[in-house]
Amino acid sequence: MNSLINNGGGPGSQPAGRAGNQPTNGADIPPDRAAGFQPEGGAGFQPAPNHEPPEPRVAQLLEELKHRNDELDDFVHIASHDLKEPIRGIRNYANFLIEDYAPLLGEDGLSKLRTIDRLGQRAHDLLSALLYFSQVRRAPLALAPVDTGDLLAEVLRSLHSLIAERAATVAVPQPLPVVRCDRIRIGEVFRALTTNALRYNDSPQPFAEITCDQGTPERPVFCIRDNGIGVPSAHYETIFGIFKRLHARDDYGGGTGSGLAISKRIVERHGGRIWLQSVVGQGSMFYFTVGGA
Amino acid sequence: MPQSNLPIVVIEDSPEDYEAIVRAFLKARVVNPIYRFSYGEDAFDFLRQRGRYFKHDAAEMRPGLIILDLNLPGTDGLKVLQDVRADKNLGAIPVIVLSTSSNQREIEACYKAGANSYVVKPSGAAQFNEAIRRIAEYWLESVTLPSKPESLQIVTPRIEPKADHG
Repeated sequence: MNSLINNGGGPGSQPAGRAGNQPTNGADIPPDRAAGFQPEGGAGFQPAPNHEPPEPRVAQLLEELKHRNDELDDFVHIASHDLKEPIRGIRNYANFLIEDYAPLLGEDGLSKLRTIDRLGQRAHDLLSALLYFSQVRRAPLALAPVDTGDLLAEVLRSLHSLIAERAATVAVPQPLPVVRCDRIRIGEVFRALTTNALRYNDSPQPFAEITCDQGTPERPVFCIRDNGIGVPSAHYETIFGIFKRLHARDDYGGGTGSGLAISKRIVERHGGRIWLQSVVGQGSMFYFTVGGA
Repeated sequence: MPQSNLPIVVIEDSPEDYEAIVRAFLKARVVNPIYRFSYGEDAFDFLRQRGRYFKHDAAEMRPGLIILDLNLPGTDGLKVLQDVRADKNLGAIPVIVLSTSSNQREIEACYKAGANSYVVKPSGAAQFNEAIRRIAEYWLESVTLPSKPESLQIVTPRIEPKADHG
């Protein structure tokens, strides 16, 4: 049952039809969560008599909800996969025109075709992010003890060109613990949070620091702190929505706006949660746990 | 210039992707004959030289390389691959899977079924051309493909093997 609860992207009290893509507070689902699973229209549902425990009904509804979420993810997966083919074709044909008819088209015509190609690339990138987003919920986690210090070092090596380009400093002042998690997925979380810390950063000396507080009673809490542009508190929840961006499309490196949504899914699948504190103009601290996965 | 002049069979249902593949092959100066099929069943009939594809000059038709899309109407690409590998006369032909999908399960299934390469179709003309150029460079220039007469003696034993290709 636990895996069901942690799987659904925190369905919480959302109506069943909207679960799955609504940002919520995290995996900590309140004890009265069952109230959110009443059937649509509610009126036909009578409270169970006292001598009959409610669990079977709740379990059945949870099962239905999980099934619906799986269907929704299948749909997202198939749709985003199938849309890639026509987009590839549009890009290819725009380039055939450029290659075969350049003299007829003139510079203005060529520039418009290059815009078609660029928009096609954007559509492709968004679909790839959507595919990955649906995959994160579908594919089973490969859980094993992971040295998160090693893992982070690996992620930072792969980010070296971004770090160099931004003349940034990334600090890991203390050893990080060994945690049971899916190495590849949690690596994605480190990558997304570190990339954001350096990208959404106007400082002449961008800075990110990754630490882990192991003293909390429940679980280690990882923290990625930066001196970036910060996040207004009104957006603390919404920035975890898929494709949610707080800035114009091409500002701050022009990402797809999927990194935090994917990170949230990954963390919640591990039974953890992700949240932030921030001061606009000074920096942000993103926290996450990986729970008892 | 590719060394092998064996035919290439492209199993691809999208005419647009097929055009992109052919253009990219031409850019890479590939002059090998290319046979295209939209359906896996059709391609398999051609490879087996049966049904409407029966020819007496079958020796000329046996491809050196198969480029295979996965998402085909009817029989899907994975089944075509499995059928090719299970066929004692066709089993040695290299099969390059060229697919939109970057799904790990599909990639693994293809390699398990005996795919020689799995290439995700890139989005973007330059990247697409480069992917095809590399396929041509490696499979038509670097490697030695299985020679045809030996295998073909089993398919059509009455046909005289062609002169030794060395």
